[in-house]
Amino acid sequence: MRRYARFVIPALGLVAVLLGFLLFNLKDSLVFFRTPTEVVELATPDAADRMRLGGQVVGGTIEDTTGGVAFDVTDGTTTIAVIHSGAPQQLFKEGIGVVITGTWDGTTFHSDEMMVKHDEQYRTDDGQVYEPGEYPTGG
Amino acid sequence: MTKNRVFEISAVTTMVTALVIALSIGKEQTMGNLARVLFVHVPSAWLAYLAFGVTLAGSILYLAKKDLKWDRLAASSAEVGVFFTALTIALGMIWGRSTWGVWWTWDARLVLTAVMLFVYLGYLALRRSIPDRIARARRSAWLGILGIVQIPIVHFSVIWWRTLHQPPTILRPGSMEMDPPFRAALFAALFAYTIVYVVLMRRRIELSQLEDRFEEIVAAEERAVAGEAVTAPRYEGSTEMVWDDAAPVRDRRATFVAVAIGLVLAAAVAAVSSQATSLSNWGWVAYAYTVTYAAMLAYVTWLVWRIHTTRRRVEEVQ
Repeated sequence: MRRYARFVIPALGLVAVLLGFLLFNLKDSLVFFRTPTEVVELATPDAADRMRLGGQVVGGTIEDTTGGVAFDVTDGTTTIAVIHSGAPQQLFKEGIGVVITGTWDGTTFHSDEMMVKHDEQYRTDDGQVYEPGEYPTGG
Repeated sequence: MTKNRVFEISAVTTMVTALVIALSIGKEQTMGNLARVLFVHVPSAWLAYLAFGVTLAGSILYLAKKDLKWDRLAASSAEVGVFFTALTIALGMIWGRSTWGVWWTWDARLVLTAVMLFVYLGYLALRRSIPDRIARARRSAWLGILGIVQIPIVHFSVIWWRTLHQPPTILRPGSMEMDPPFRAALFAALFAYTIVYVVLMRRRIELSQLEDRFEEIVAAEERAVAGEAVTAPRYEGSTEMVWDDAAPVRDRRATFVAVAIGLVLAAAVAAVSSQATSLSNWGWVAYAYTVTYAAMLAYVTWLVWRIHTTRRRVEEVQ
């Protein structure tokens, strides 16, 4: 059926996207990342359970460690200590949003992947001071 | 001066103006120069929305009035929309790698935009799979109407779900969190891109008209050869297939050239991407802008090529 050959690309593309979404996002939960409050509320911390944690980097908590960086992440209610192995992203700084991937052992979050979450504020260098907006919790 | 020329000159002038503003304003506090990618990424996304909106309007008008000119409008706009959706994703990946740190992640906004791209690619595939001109217009009109539900879902995905992608800058609840220089650059770019859309659409509709004329002439010849006993193949319910005769209108060479340009672009993009870690912030900006203009130039070239070859074919059969 030559006429239908052109459906192959859109169909394969759709299947690939849905499969990727199922495998890499929906596997554990419907949310892209968990907030510190949700992570702390986890009944049984499992060191083998990889998850994404999102929040704001707390000012004055960033410390260089061997092979990485340590900092606190907050959602405004709960604050979690994070030990990140690997170089932080270029835009990583106090007050910025991060989404990190790793494991929670009940006291510390050990991450090895970091994504920086920029919000929708765009401020000039000499303009209004950038005020971290709402905590990145989403809907 | 033809009307086309007026629009083309306005498009180039406003695009250059938008580019100058985008590159001359100061840095953003957090992202620095990387914020400049906003002025190509957001206008591309706007044109994707606008184009699929016009496809919806064309589809509804076709079903209401049964005039093929509305079908040509819908089809033309869908192709332009697919181009800008793909460009938005490409630019988003460049921006994502330079600010978030990753090319891609399975975030709701990213996934839904990719789904939208493939659904409208499906719309274009559907059109090419239906030989009957009237059935093609009617069936694709329904898909053109159904497809629109994705626009609000894509746009508000960043508000409805937890995403890595930032919330919308415009068309959002609450005021715009953007200092005046960035607003000026963004609105200049939105204006310029809208004119680019008009230019592309005028050309793409011209191509649709030529394609329809070619199919009409071929179908009329078939009827003449087959005699009066055979019903007109252009109408629904006909057992005649005009498709195989009309197929050459979709010039294989034009497709080949388009694929070749696409492959060269993809190779260039891959080569630069592999060096991504050593790119400076201005390097990233240059990368995003180069991809934008190269892609637009490639699309315009492909469009003009198709118009040229189709016109020649119409003249040959006339």
